[in-house]
Amino acid sequence: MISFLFWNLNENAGAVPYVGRLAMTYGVDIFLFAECPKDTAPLITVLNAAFRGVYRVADEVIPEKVRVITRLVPSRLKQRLTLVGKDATIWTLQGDTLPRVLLVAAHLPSKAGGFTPHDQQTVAEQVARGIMSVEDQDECQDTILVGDMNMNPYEPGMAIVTGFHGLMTADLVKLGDRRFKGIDYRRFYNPMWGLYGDRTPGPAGTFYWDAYSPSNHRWHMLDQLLLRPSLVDRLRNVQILAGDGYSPFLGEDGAPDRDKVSDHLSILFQLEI
Amino acid sequence: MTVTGQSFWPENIDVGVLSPKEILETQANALADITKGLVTAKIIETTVATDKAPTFQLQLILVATNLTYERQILTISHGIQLFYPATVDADCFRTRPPPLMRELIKDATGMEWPTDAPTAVTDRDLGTLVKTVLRSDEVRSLLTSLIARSKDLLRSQGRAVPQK
Repeated sequence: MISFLFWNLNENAGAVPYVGRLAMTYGVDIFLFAECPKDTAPLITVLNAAFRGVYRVADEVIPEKVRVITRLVPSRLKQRLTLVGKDATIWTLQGDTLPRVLLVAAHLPSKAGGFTPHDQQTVAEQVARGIMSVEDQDECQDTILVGDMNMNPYEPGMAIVTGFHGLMTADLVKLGDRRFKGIDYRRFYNPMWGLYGDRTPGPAGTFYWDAYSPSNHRWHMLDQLLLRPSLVDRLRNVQILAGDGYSPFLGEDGAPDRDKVSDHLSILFQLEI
Repeated sequence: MTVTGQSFWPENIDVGVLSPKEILETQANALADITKGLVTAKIIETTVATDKAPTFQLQLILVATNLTYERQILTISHGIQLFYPATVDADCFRTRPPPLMRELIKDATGMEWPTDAPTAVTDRDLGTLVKTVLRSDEVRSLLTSLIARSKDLLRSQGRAVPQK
């Protein structure tokens, strides 16, 4: 089983000690950090002080938008392709049982950064095409997509057939490619649908936006995990973490403590691959 | 005014026009020579589904073999049958001013900030767009870094480093 943790750190060096404790509590094999502090040395120091393996920066050649730190040996995790805009980097991962898995780490443009929902959909479509192109070249559709999408699961870029085509149930995903207007579209399973709101354990989303806006859900599910159908039955756990096992990530108001930790919460998931 | 004998056809349309793939192949071959093979470029062709019609896409990918690193630096998309118009996506065409700045620009000039990928109607247009990408700060920085890192690695391994 391989354990992954994705987290947008909001470039907050104050979050570094929590990362070490996450390694201790959850035995994470691969950390993926968006908005990672530029200096990764403190992260490596706290991770290796946890005595849960020897961690290293995997994207040391050219730092990616989503930094990858792992305790897996270099031969098991290799950069495969970084897409235009550095919106996503595709890695090849050698699993315990699967010889080749594609791991896509994404950080897509935000509305706050000037992108309209239409722009975001365009980028999602471009990233989806990039993923499919590598899947075709490598003849592998054992694909994991994780990242800060800066969209909710129901927004067009996440759900439309030409985008990520992320669906809310495993049954829907297992139906195979969807034929729409004569063209087949690959599907992703998006388990984050099931974690949205307060009817499941854990926080209601990964990001809290407290703004005076007439239409504001407050909790947003910007950070997401998506899986191709072949990996759905291999998903053992996915959860939004409200703490590191020692300290909470939430402030007194119940929202992510952006000053002390980060404005995003992390996603932990394990796959039997 | 007499029109006898005059051609009304546009200039720069002749039998020498190039396909998007030919334009990229020329640049890929040139890069291998320039970098003495430290960084090469490859072209990946794919057919992609869109909500309108299938589209043909060419990707230009930088490859630093010694570093086991690959980076997509531009994509060209066009119809299956028609090579033009072709749209180009690249880092340098992605820059967006913040929303407030866009509003100010719109208020001051009445112009909306363009958000669609630039489109080439002819091979000349496409050549200009590709040249813009290859000479952009983003690509120059990346290329320089990859060459320098590749040389560092070869040196550290005691292997021959290509000379200028």
